[in-house]
Amino acid sequence: MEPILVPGPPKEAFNKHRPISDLVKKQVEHFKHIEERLSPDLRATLPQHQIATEDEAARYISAMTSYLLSRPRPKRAAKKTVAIKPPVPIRPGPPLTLAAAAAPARKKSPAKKKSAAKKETPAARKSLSTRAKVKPKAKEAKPKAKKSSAKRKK
Amino acid sequence: MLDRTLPGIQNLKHIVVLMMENRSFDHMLGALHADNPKIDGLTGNETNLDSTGEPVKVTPDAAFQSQLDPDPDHHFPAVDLQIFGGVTTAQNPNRKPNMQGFVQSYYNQQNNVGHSHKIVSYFTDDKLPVLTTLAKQYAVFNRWFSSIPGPTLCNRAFAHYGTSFGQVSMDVFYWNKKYKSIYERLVAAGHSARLYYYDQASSSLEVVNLLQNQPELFGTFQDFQDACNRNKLPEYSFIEPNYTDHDAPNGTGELIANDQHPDHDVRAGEQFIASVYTAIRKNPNLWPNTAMLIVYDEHGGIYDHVPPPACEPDGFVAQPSATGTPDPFHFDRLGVRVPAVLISPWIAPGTVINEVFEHASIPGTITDFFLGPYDARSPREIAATTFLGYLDQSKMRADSDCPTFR
Repeated sequence: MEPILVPGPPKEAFNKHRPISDLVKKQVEHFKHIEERLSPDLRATLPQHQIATEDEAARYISAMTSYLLSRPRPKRAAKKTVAIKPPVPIRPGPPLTLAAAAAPARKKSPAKKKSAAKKETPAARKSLSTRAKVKPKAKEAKPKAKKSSAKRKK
Repeated sequence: MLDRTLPGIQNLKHIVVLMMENRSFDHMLGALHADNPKIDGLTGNETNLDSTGEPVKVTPDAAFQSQLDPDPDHHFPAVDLQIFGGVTTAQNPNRKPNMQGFVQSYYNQQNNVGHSHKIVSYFTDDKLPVLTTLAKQYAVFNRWFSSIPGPTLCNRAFAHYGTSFGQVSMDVFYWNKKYKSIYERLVAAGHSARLYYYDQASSSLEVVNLLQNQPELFGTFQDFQDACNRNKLPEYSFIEPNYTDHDAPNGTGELIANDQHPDHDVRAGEQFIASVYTAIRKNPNLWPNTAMLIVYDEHGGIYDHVPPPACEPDGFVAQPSATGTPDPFHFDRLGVRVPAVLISPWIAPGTVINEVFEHASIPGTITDFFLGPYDARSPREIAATTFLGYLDQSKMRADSDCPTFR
């Protein structure tokens, strides 16, 4: 089979001054959500330019990503490779109602209100090995049979 | 139940998922129906009524760029209109999806009748040589739907966690830790998993939960290519495309967005898909042992003719204040259909899959393959169909039988 030619876009397709889409706008908001919880000293090291174009978004996102990657991680015990045991079944709770959405001050999932356990905020971040284990509840209802795209007999 | 005696499954060591952005099945693959009627694409007679009441036929004139501008609305209320044609539950409590609201929805953004017709345009297959070749040469899903009738972030959450934790919007949300991400499950069990974003300037869309709390899971696309070249590919890899046009950080030039989200040039995404495929295809140590899934996160507000089915409720409820419609949403209906192609030399060419899949099928499949029985998952993931059973050929396809790109 001959290799198939893949034409690329023309040079004029590139436009770093294009206004950001709603997707990138939201991605920036999520990074801003993290930034706003940092100390003033740390925030002063991060870009504070206006973000209206793809290039401006990229520069901010790059700095925030670099920051998140550079934070020291808590040391974890060396992992052993063990056969996974089936987790203790957890009984599903009642349907969770989403709290009023789109209110900037309320960013947490409604599920978090049910738990007294530490929340996953930057301040409360724990390593994987030290996270509080969720206590198993009483046994759950039988799971439905898993569907699989099983091989069809010809 | 996955048949683990299949040679393709016995050889399987790596699964790679590439999730692109915001294009519907009919928009990208609808033209394939003409050559293969088994592919549930377009006959050319499908229509949507426009704002004047005139039926608008689908047209094979999708453009690479500058056509779908403004970005078609794909938030929950707009998708509700697109799917139900403007019929509300107040008007008909038993309303059924009719896929008749796309043109009206696009009209609502600019009140431009002519421009609203663009939403039913679709690509001829010669314009998408990579995606259409892969769809024809491997397995194409006739019934892969986005997980919820809404936007990107909550749909992508289903691919990572098997749920969106009750989210239907793009707002910040935190995981509830009852349902671990597929990455956390794998790593906890001693397996390897990585999310590869394009570069730091594009980064990941999984910001608040995964990138913030588990940055060690992440790498760049260059890391992915290096891992392929050095035979160090993790067991599970999830790849994100480039979401913005920006200068290369090292000053070497310009990096064009390749996610295919409107209004980015679709050809850049074709090149990106080809590069991911080629990284695996060209390595004889990876190609026999890897299954690759190319899928899109949601339809981007673009027309598709197949009504999304009802599905297993997720255990969450989004109230009207969250949905932006008069009704709550019980996560009991899937979103609009998206392109999805499964690639492996153990798949027969021309395979067409008709079972229903959604993004929860991704963690469902990965968990089933690498971990086996695992109960601490969302009801949607537990109920989701898995896809590895389609690696069902008794012999691996010859190298000359599998396409390459240049």
